[in-house]
This record gives sequence, C-alpha cells and structure tokens, in this order.
Amino acid sequence: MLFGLGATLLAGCTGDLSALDPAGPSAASIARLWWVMLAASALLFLLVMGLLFVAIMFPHFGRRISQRSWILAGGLALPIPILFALTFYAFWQGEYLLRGGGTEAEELVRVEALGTRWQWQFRYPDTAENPTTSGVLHIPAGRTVEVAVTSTDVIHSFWIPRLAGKIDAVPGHVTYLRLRADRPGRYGGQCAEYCGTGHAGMNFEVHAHAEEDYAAALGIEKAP
Amino acid sequence: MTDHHEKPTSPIALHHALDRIWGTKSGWGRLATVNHNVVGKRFMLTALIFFAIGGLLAMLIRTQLASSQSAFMDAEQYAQVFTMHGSVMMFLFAIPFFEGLTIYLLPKLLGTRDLAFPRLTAYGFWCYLFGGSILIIALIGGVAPNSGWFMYTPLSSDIYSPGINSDVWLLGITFVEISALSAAIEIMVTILKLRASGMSLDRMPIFAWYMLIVATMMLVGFPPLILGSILLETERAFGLPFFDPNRGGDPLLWQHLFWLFGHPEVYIIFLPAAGAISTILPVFAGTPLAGYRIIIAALVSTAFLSFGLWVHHMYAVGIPHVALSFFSAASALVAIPTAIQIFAWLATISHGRPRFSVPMLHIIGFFFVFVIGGLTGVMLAMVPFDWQAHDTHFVVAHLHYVLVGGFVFPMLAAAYYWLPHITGRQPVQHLSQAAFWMIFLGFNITFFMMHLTGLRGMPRRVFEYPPESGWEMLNFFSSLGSFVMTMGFALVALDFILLFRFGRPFRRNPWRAGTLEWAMPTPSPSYNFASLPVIDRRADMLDPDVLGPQLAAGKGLLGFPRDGRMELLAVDIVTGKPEHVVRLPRQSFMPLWTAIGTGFFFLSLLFKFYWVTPFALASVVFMFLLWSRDTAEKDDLGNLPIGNGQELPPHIEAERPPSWWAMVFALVADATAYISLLFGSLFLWISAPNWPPQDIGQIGLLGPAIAAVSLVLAAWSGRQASAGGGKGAVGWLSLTTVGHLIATTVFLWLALTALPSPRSHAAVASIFVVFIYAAMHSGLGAVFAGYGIWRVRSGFVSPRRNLDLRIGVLWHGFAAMVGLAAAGFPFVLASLTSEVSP
Amino acid sequence: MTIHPIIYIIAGFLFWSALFLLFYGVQATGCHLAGDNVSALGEHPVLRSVLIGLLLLSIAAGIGPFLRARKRRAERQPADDTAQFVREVGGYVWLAAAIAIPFSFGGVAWLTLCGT
Repeated sequence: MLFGLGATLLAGCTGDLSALDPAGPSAASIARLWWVMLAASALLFLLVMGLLFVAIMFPHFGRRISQRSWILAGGLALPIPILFALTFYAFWQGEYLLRGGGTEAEELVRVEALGTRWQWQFRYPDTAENPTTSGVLHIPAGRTVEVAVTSTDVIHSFWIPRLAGKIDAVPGHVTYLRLRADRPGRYGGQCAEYCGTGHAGMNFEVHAHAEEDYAAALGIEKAP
Repeated sequence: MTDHHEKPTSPIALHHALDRIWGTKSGWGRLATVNHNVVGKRFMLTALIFFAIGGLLAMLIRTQLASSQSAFMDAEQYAQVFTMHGSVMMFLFAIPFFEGLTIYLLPKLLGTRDLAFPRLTAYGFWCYLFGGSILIIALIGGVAPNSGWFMYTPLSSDIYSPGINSDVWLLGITFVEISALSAAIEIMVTILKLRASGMSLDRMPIFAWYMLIVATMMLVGFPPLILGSILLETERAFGLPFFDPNRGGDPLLWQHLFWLFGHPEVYIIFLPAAGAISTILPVFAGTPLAGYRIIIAALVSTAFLSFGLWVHHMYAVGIPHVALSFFSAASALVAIPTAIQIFAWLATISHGRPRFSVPMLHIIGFFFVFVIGGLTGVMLAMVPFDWQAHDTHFVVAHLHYVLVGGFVFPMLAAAYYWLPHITGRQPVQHLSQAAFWMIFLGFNITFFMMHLTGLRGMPRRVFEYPPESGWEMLNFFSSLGSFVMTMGFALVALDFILLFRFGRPFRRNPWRAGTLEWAMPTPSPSYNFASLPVIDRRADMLDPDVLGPQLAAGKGLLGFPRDGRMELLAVDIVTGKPEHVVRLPRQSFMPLWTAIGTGFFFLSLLFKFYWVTPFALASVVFMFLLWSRDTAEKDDLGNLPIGNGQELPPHIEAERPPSWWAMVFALVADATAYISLLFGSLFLWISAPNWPPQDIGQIGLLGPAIAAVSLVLAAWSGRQASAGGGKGAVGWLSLTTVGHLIATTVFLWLALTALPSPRSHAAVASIFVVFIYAAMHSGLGAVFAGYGIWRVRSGFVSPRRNLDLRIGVLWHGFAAMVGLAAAGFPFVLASLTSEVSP
Repeated sequence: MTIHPIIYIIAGFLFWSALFLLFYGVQATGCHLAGDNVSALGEHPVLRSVLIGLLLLSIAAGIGPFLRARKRRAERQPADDTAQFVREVGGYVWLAAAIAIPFSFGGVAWLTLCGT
C-alpha cells in the first residue's frame, strides 16, 4: 500500500514542465535539494506544532525548562546549525549549477536565446551557418549547453523546468545559463516573467538530439 | 491667563470638561476631527473596505484559473485583476490597517491622550482615502495598472504601456505613501517622546518596541520606492531614460529600488502583527511575556537584516554568485530572530496557564500557517532552489502563507481581542469558531496544493494554461478552497456586526490584561485618560482595575482642562522623566483642505495638466505653513503646573519638542531618497548598457562654486539667527533667504542651460534630477527663512520661543548638504565615465 | 562624549549594514573596473584578495569591541535598570552582528566573483 501511495505521489510530480521530473544534472540536483528540504521542514514543522500542542494541553510540561532555555534552544541552537549547513551546501550547489553540472568550459556548446513579445528565437553560433529557429531549441543530448539569453523588448525569463533553473532575459544585458539533457527527447520550456498579454502563450520546445543527429536537426551539414 | 485652571470636582465633571475640548464636533465638524480614536477607526474601516475589494479580485482570479482554458476573462482583464489584487492588498489594506490599529492603540498603550501630530494623522488619512480611490476608480473604468504589482520596467514604461494605467499606479500609490511616511514619523515621535511619566525604555509595552522598529523601517524603506516611482513617472511623462537600456538606463535599477522597499515591506507588515501577538498571547497564557529583552534584540536584528536581502527577488537576473551569497546569507539569517520570537511565545505559554478563547484560536492558526510560510521562505532563500521556484505558483503559495499567516490571522486575533475595547461590548461567540475553521481550512486547501502546482511548472500570472499540463485538478481544488475561505470571511463580518448590535456590555478589562489601554472606560473617551498615569514597572504588568478608577478621578498628572487646549506630557526619550507640556493644536479643516490640494497636485500630473501642477504645489506649501498659526504664542508662558505640585515648560519653550524630532526624522527619509538617487546613478555607471554617455555637458566650476558658497552662508546665517533669537534674527534670516535664492537660481540655470537634453542619456538625466532636487530644497529653504522673518516680525519668537528658527536650522543645514553633494556630483560622474573605457 | 542609548542598542547591526554596502560596492565596482579582463566564469585574483582582506578585518572589528565590552561589564555595574537594559540589549545585538559578519560575507573567499 505504501508503495502504491508513493507511486501516486511520484506520478503527481511528472509532467512536461515539472521541476520534480528532472531530465538533466542541474534539475536533478535542485530536485534532490527540494526533497531534502521538504523532509527537514516537515520534521521542524511537526516539532514546533507538537511543542505548541503539548504546552497548551499539558501546562506542567514545559515549566521544568526555564524560559531562557526555551528561547536559546529553540531560537538559536535549533536553527543555527541547520541554516549554516543548508546555506553552505546551497552555495556549493550554486557553483556546481553555474558550471552546468561540473563540466570544463571548453566543452560547452553555445546557443543564443532571444526573447521577444511573445516568442523565443534561437541561434547557434558554434555552427558555421548559424541558423535561426523559432519556438524550438535544438541541443545535443549529453553535452553541456551554454545558453546566452537576452531580450529586445521587455523582461522575459527563460525556463526549461526539467533541465535547469530559470534565467531572466533582460534588455540590454546578456545572461548565461548552462544546462544539460541526459537523454534525447522533447522538453517543455516557457517564459516565467510576466511580459504582457501574450505571456501565457510564450512557450517553446527543447529538442535534445543524439550527438549524430544534431547537425541534421539544425538542417545543416555536420561540422567537420 | 495660562495658569488659570480649575480642578473639576467629580470624575463626571472632569469627563465633561475634557470631552468638550477633545471630542469630535457633530455635522460637518466630523470632517475636522483630528482625534486618534476617530481617525484610527476610519483608517481601519477604510482598509477593510479595500480588503473586501482585494478579496473580490482574488475570487475573480480563482474563478479564471479553476479550469485550464477559461473564457471568463481575457488576458488584459486578467492582468488588471492580478495587478490590482496585489497592489490593493499590500498598499491599501495591509499597511493602512496596521497603521489604523496603531493610531488607535498606541497612545492608550503609552498612557497618553493622542499622537504627537493629530492634524498629520488626519492629513494622512485623507491622502490614503483619496489615493486609494484613484486606483479603485481606474479599476472600475477599466484603466487599472496592468504590469503586475511590482511594475517591472520596461513593461510598465511608456513604450509597452502607453495608456494611463501605469501612471495610475505610480501616482496613486505615491499619494498613499505620503500617509505611510507621515504615520511613520508620527509613530516614532510618539513612542520616543509621548510616553507616560516613568515609562523608561525598559518599561515600554512590547507593542511600542515593535512599532518603534516598524516605523523606523518605514521611514527608510519607503523613500527608495517613492524615488523609483518619481523617476519612472519622469521617464513616462518627459522621456528621462532612467530605465531605458537604449539610452544608458537599466531596467534592473527599478528592480533594486523596488525591492529595496519591497522586502523590508514584508517585515513591516509582519512585525506589527507579531507585536499584537506578543501583547495578546501573554494575557491568555496568564503570565508576562518571556524574553522581553531578547525579543527587542531580535527585532533590531530583523529590521537591519531585512534591508540586506532584497536581491533574493532577483536571483535570476544574472548577478554574480558572490553578490548573491550576501543576500542569500542574510535571507537565511533573518529566520533566526523569527525563531527566537516563536520560541519566546512557546516559552510564555508553557510557563502559564493557557485559556482558550477566540483570539487564541487565531493565534494557533497563525502558528500553523506562518511556520509553513517561514520554512518555505528559507527554501526560497537558497539560490539554487529559487532558480526553479522563482516566478511560479510556489512563490504565490509561500507569500500567501507568510502574509495571511503573518498578518491576517494575528489581525483577526487582534480584532477579537480589541473590538470589545472599541465597542464596549463582548462578543456573543456563536459564529466566531465556525468562521475561524472555514478561513483556516479554506486557506490551506487553496494554498497548500499551490506549492506543488508551482513545482510542476505553473508560472505566475498566466490567465490560461494547457489542459495537458496536469495543473487543472490542483487549480480546481485551490479555487474550491478559496470560496470556503471567502465564506469564512463573510461570517467574520457578520460576527462583527452581531457584536456591535447584540454584544454584552462589560465594566472594565474583560481579558484581565495588564496593559494601559484597559485602564479607561470603554468605548474609550476622546481624551483616553482623564489624568495621565505614572508608571513604576514594565507597562504590561499593571493592574488596570485599580489604575483606571484612580485616573478617572483625576489623581494622575494633567487631570484638569486648561485654556480649552488639548494637553499632554512629553518625556525624556530614555528615562521617561516628564520634560514639558505639549499643547496640541485645535481641531481643524486644514488637513482636509491640504489633502485636497495634494490631490489636485497628483491629478494634474495624472491627466497631464502640467500648468496646474506648480499652483497645486504652491497651495500645499502655503497651507502647511498656515497650520502653524494655531500653535503660536505671542508671549512666553513660563512653567505650567501639571498636578501633584510639579511644573514644566510648554513645548514651544522646550529644547527638543516633538516637532523638532519630526523634522529630524523627515530629513532622514529625505536623505534616504537622495542617497538612493545618487547611488542609483552610480549603479547605472556600473550596470547599464550604452555607457559612457557621448556628452554630459560643460558645467564649469563657477556655477557649482557659487551655489556651494551661498548654501554654506545660508546654513551658517540660519544658525546665527536662531542663536540670537531676538531682533537680530531678521537680518540673519534675510541673508539665509538670499543665499538659498542664489543657490536655487544657479541650480535651475545649470539644469536648464548647461546640460545637453536630459532625454539623451541616463547620465545627463541623473545630473538633471540631482540639480532639480537641490534647487527644490534651496527653494523651500528660502520659503522657510522668509516664513521665519514673518514669525519674528509678528512677535511669535523670543529667546525662549525660538523653536521655529531651530527647526529651520535643521532644514538649512540639510539643504546645504544636498546642494554641496549636487554641486560635486557631475564631477564625480564625469571622472568615472572618462576613466572607464577599457 | 557618550553614545545615545538607542544608537548603542543598534550599533552592532549599524556596523553590519555599513559592511554590507562596502562589500557589495567593492565587489560590483571591482567587477566593473575589471571589465573585459574577466570572462563569463571569470576569476580576478586582485579583487578577491581585497575582499578577503576586508573580510578578515571586519571579523576582527566585529569581535574586538564585543570582548572589550564584556571586560568592561565585568568591572563596572550599570547605574540603573535602564542603563543595564540598554547594555544587555546592545550586547545581544552586537553579538548577533558579530556572528552574522563571517556568515554573510564569507562567500567572497570561494564563490564565483564576476559574471554568471
């Protein structure tokens, strides 16, 4: 029965745009952080509510502990180690994500994403032809891709939930996001920052191709 | 004359004598009232009406999202609805509601009769009412703001929002914020100066500590947003390109200015509610609050930390990781003072004998909801997780857990706790429990699932979503829950109406509290205390049942009317020793007229009748100067008896009366805005594209040098005038006026002739605005100095009564600093831009 | 000259705030002046050394006054309840700020300095 419940819960997390259904190292790493934080939060929540319940229902329970000890234990000793450990881990993970899952810089595949109201255009400066695609981003699977994101009008946000976190497309600035798809497949992407009436429809697709199909998918000769 | 006062013989006679002075007049006179009892209630009632409007908008949102491809609203309508829901709840409900509660309660908790500046209270209320109405009228007219409640540029700029919508937000909200700033100053001065005799810092009721810190945060937090709104409005109206990346502006500047206000704002809303809990919870636990001193230290820490985490709304804009780490660490740290408060409350309960009651039920609801919101807050503070969760419904869930948990539940507890004070009746309590459970369950059904909706990828602010996304069932449940919650709120409204109508009257102190607001008859008389209390212990451990009758019988201080004037005591900030007698101005229609003038100023900008603007502005300044007629005295009054054989001088003969402090705090807010402007320009140098500018003009050394010298002269001669105090003052003040006028002229001349078009580049626009800022300060300095001359000539100033001049000294000094910074600013900017071209 | 009690209470975090502006300002200005010398994931040893130096100085400046105040407290009794209150609360705030300093700014030692 427990297994069934777990399966239902996990099924409830899947989806084309679900951050909890990761398909690359960045998103997987963030999803793991989420599950750990969820478990820890559930415990802390139960602890605080349990203490509140006991304190109200059994007035003699908490009196043996001095008020000062209550405050020092709950207000300092409890949160400080947790917060310090969590923050330190998050910094380390941030560095890992900035490197797109720990790869060397020279292995990067570079693409450019341009947000305009209300569609995404992509260019491929690593290929000689540098083609433009609209609404579909082609990437090679298993390689770390550096997406250079910008906008020509208002602020958008570039987000492929199953592969990585989001990065804003700010007019006048270029921002970078490094991500990797583990397997070939199709992944949903969307604009996450409100950008006007067409915001809800500003979606795109990511097609991750096996290395050998990548050039063909871009409609160009394979690079020598 | 002034020493003429007779002690009324009975408590009833004393009541009638005081109520004649303090009470609100009937008929049109109601509009002239400045009494904090009345204005506080008006604030709260108005805020509740806006809450109902905001709630209605939330219903529309949930109706739209209940199914994936709803045809209920189109994208434009939906944009106006979600923008207004956020703006109304934040600016027109949450802040004004706690302001109203504070205005009503604070003087009572402190043991005094009113706030420091009753007319300013009334003015703030009118500004709030008029500014809020502008927004609601725009909503009805279909031209409400539609760029989201944080108004990100360039979406809210003139190119992408050409209509009046964004102007409505920028001007309407700024109008409302005048009331927030004036409330902040007033609350600070009241807490610092107008406490009961003997109420030293360590004896203040904890709510006063909370509000002192909240008010200080408002004083520093609001100016960046006001400045940002002014800059964005100048961009929209006149093309000054502060946020336009094509001309050296930067959309990120808006985000920094907005969130520099916007994050402290969350704590500005939470802390008053926490203060209410720290006041109410010990009463029901039957024991004083635990950890009074640690809580104060925690509050101070929260206040500062909350100004160091604004970038956690901007993790995804491409800021280097090291910089993010400062903000992420502060965001994590701020959880600790909150944990301290939560465990202080638990310690209080565990050492007492908790009683159950409706306020307590809402406090338990607060614990449940707010702890979840706090935990998700720590999650979002972590940069990697935020990169996924940012701008999704996870954030929507989090912020509602924090704001509803951290504000609405405590305020419901506060309402059930203090409504008996306002009405003099106790609740009947048939509906209260059912209402609580409907709100509590409805809220959690609505927002708990929304965490998952967000993590499964649903962004904020979409008016439709694909049916195959798998979000439909979750959204449907959220919508269902929200309707249960609405019914709960409707039930609360009904419960309150029944309380007003059928509640049981009671004698005194129904909850057996230990704070001063219960040491008075209920509903409270207009003057609060027939005589003012003297405090000898922490002001939440008093016995109102004993104290109340004594004060009503006139056994405290100032237990008599004098000259038909509203009087109260000012004390030393630290020790609480009485310092002087504050003689408040009489009731007046001036606050209303001044607010109407202010309204014309904003409307002229909104509808682009720019020729009206200077007249409206001049009329507002003129009316404010007229306010001072009422407190002026032609003769030195000397020391006044305050009862119990003591004598104190009146405030205009005291060294640092409330109005002097108010000017100091106003200048702090002003300085914050100015520093934000200067740093904002330097930020553009660092961050904005299309720098350096082609041309920032030939300013030369002469103009700035003349301005600087004349301003230093003005400040110095202003000081001389006040030091002399007597007849020589006219000469010195004339010199001050001339100095200010020269500086004003120079700055205006430089701004209009020496610069290239401010539309050409944000650097030029920055210098232009800095010059205008300095010119306005010198211009006002000339007006104040001229006004000082008039006051001296009319005999309102003597060596003992030179308060007007000393307040002037503060302004002249500040205007000089503003001017000196402005004179140097173009040279700093020029050296930076020329040196950096790698 | 004596410090006003209210300033004394908030002194710890006033100092922290000044450091916050300093660190953020030095980092942002430094990265800007470094200009093209740093790549997207760039490193800038000079700037990093400056920031680490600042970090060490501010940690010392955070701990120093706290220890001195402790010593003084052991020697002298405060004049009255209010003075004792101000000293106690101010002490808590300063301690909190002293702990917050290495935590808030420690990232300068190892996190990506400029670029994203």
